[in-house]
Amino acid sequence: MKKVLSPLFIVAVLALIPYVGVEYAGLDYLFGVVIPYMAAGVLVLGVAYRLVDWLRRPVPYTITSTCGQEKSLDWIRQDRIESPSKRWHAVVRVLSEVLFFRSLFRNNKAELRKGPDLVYGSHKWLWLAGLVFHWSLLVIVLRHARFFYYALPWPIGIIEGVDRFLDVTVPALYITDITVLLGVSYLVFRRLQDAKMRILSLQTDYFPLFLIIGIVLAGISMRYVTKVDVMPVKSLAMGLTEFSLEPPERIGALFYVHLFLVCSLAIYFPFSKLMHMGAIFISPTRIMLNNSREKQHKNPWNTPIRFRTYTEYEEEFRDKMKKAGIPVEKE
Amino acid sequence: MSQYLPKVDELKKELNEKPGVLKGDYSKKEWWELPFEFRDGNFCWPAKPEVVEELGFPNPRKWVATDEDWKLPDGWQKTLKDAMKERFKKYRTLKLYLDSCVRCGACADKCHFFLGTGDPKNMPVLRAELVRSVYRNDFPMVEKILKGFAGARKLDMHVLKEWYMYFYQCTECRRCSVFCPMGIDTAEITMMVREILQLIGINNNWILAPVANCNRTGNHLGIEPHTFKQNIESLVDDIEDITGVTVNPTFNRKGAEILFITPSGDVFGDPGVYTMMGYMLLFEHIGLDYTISTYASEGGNFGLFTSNAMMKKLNAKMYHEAQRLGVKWILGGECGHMWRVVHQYMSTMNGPVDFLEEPVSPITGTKFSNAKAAKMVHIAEFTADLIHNGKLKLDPKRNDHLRTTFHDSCNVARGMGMFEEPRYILNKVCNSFHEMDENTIREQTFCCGSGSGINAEEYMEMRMKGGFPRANAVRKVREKYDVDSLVTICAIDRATLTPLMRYWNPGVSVYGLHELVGNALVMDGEKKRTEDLREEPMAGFDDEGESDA
Amino acid sequence: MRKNILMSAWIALALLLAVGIFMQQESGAGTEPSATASGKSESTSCVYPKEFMKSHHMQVLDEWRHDSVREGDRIHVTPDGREFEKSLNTCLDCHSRNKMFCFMCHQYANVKPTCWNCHLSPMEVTK
Repeated sequence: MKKVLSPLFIVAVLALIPYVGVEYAGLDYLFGVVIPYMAAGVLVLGVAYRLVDWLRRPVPYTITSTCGQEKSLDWIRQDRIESPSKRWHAVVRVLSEVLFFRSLFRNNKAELRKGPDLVYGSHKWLWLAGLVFHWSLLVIVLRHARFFYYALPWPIGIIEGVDRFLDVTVPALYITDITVLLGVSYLVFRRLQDAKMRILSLQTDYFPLFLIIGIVLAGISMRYVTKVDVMPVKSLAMGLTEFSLEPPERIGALFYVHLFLVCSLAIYFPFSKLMHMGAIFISPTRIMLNNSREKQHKNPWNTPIRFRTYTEYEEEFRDKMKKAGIPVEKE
Repeated sequence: MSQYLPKVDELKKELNEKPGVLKGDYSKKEWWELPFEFRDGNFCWPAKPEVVEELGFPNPRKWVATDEDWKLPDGWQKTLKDAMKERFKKYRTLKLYLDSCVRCGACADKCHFFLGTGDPKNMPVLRAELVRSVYRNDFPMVEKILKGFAGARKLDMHVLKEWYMYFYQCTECRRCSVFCPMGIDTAEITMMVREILQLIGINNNWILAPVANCNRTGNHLGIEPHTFKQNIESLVDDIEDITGVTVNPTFNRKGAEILFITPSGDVFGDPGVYTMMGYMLLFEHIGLDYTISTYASEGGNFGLFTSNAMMKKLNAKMYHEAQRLGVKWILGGECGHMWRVVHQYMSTMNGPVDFLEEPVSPITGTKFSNAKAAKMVHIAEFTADLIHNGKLKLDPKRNDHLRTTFHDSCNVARGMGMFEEPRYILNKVCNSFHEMDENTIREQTFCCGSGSGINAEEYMEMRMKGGFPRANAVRKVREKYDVDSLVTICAIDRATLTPLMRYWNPGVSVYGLHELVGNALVMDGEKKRTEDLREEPMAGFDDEGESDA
Repeated sequence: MRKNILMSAWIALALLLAVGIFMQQESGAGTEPSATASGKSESTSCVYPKEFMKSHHMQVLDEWRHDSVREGDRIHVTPDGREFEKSLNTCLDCHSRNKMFCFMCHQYANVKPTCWNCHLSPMEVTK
């Protein structure tokens, strides 16, 4: 189980670095200003580079995965989402992948029973946990906008209001704090519990999960348990948005653990599978239209080839063709 | 059965008793530590040296997968890595799909080879990981760190053998891609690996021999023009014997309105020939002005399983011949991978084709606007339109001796999206159609287990394993509805499902859709029909008193 | 199977422990004695040290509300013996001298406390 323990160990070490750095070495400036700028730079430039790097490679053929009826005869109902023939069909298709994990919703589980007999059962747990996890993360990230704005933009105000509407605990409990933990726990759990997942998971699959768990726990702890004075946090965040180089006021070390883990995630992001966030928007099997017989698609490198022409063919078989009464070009 | 195939009870026992990840058993080994070995029944013969030479491919030699020494050219690692890099530049898909997999495992139990073998490396995610692990190693600076962390490894003989083993246990059916939340298409990766392996002479005779044949004679089987014609003429005779109707196919006829191209398996293979008879009856019935080419006498395209250039080269004949003969458009027969090529690649590779016209049915006047650019129409689209417009006289009772189910071919399903037309036709020509389990049809259809050029005799064990999920679904409709006829629209299916059914579900026969159309067609001037195209008695037609009018 | 569950439990425990360590050290740091505490009940210093109040005032208020409304325990005794009524008014007695006392920070940090759903806020008190 080295592949589980070693990423866990790495995350623990990553969490200890800022703790020691701030508590014992007074490196507030490094962890509060230098590293966040660096991480943001790596994230933005890295993601941009990866996206450009993907996009400049051509998609030579229309390889749409058709998961529904093609557009053919007028009286046959086309599945416009799963077999898109117009731009907006594909837009809906991709957005439904991005927002609702449409393909994952199809997921089922195959079981090999005695007989032998293969049976398939509905299996939507991954879909549900994945959806809960990703949406929670998104809401949590958006909620953090309150640290970066003087006046909170109203949509974020609404999101925050909804997130805390249960109004239990002081300060009010965010629903997403619970759901993100539930989601991420299931994602870790299934990798350990299912034999297939155990063999196919790599360290790079556990690492971001543990990292996110670390970030979430540090954040939850700061809000509900150990508490932190948010005023210097806010002024640090505001400073960062204004590209200020002012040293931060004194904030608890746990905050730096939280921040440093976030920075680690940001730096790790462009070089890892986390780039699936960008990839899902440009996956050729999903974004392309199933109109490859209707419209001419261009392959930018369409290498010319020499094929065996009819003339060459007739040259070899002319006598046999004539004998068999097959018409030929040259008698 | 052959030495390449265990008895069915042995295989059943293996599936029942052998522990595996599919049943929740975890061996505590990482996937790259799992052993594998080539043995009778799990590898295809490599291409014969003369075939490799004829095609001008590198490294022709005598070898087999079980050899210790594969006689590879010096620097083969560099050749493969360079070839990979080149293809990463040409295909966004490869780079994107290697980069963005999150190993969520949704694809794991979707692969028919995984379900049939239980081998973890047949989970699509790990199949791609075979390449991904090498590709990661190409960042030399962080190689040391990545080795443990990201599972990077060197391209060595072990990895190469693994590639040869597992990329021929993928039939490019794209079922995994349907379930992948990222839309990752393992077929893209399989196609690339098979293509670059050709560069160092690692290949498959069952693919390259048909490729060489197709290039020279126009069809996979290497049938020369006179024999091709002769064979179709013998089918014409059979039709006359059975129905009393004479059909008149023409060959290489200039000025015909439509060029008809179908896989050569329909001309030569049993049970494909009955489908061919169905086509000819249909064309006679509607008086279609069509011709068949002996030069472009192959709908299938094993180039798809070889290399991009080879696919293009073999496909080029279709348009070339259509132009020479001066036809208006092309009609294509029932086939799976042929339609992947025709639908998704053809006009991009070898178009645009200004010398052809937008296809219009000469019988119904229907414009096939979905084929406006490629100018090639699928026979099921064509026939469905005929039936819908009431142009065919059909008697579905003539198929009452069959109880049918329908197998969607992977390529037509997931690479074209044709689901309704064949079902519409099937429901019009027979009274007994029952669908299989919803997880095994339409976009979720299972491969026959032998697609993508692996239907070799010596590969029988793997084929029966890979086809098990399909056979299992057929068994269930057989038990429930007494189904005995598996209808397909794919020539490879007709060739491969037949032994699959014989092995797993004896008593189930494989039919082409247009064979059933041929059975049901009420022809002008026909004699009283009592037998179907296979000369098997139809139900309820032998008694003198009954009428089929 | 059992091993899998054990392993998951182990990992959860490890993570909890790791965070637990931080939490303990953190709260230790938060209760540092404050230099401004004085011995008089009419004092000018707060019920808890200023640093502690900055991060914990919402929890103190919540606790007070609970104690006084639910338990009938209305008196807060500081470690140095001063007594205060557990009431928001106790806070406002001192802190409403600056009407903006609560709002400056809450606004700055985009925090919306629920106090003023029931209580009259200093902003609404006309003087």
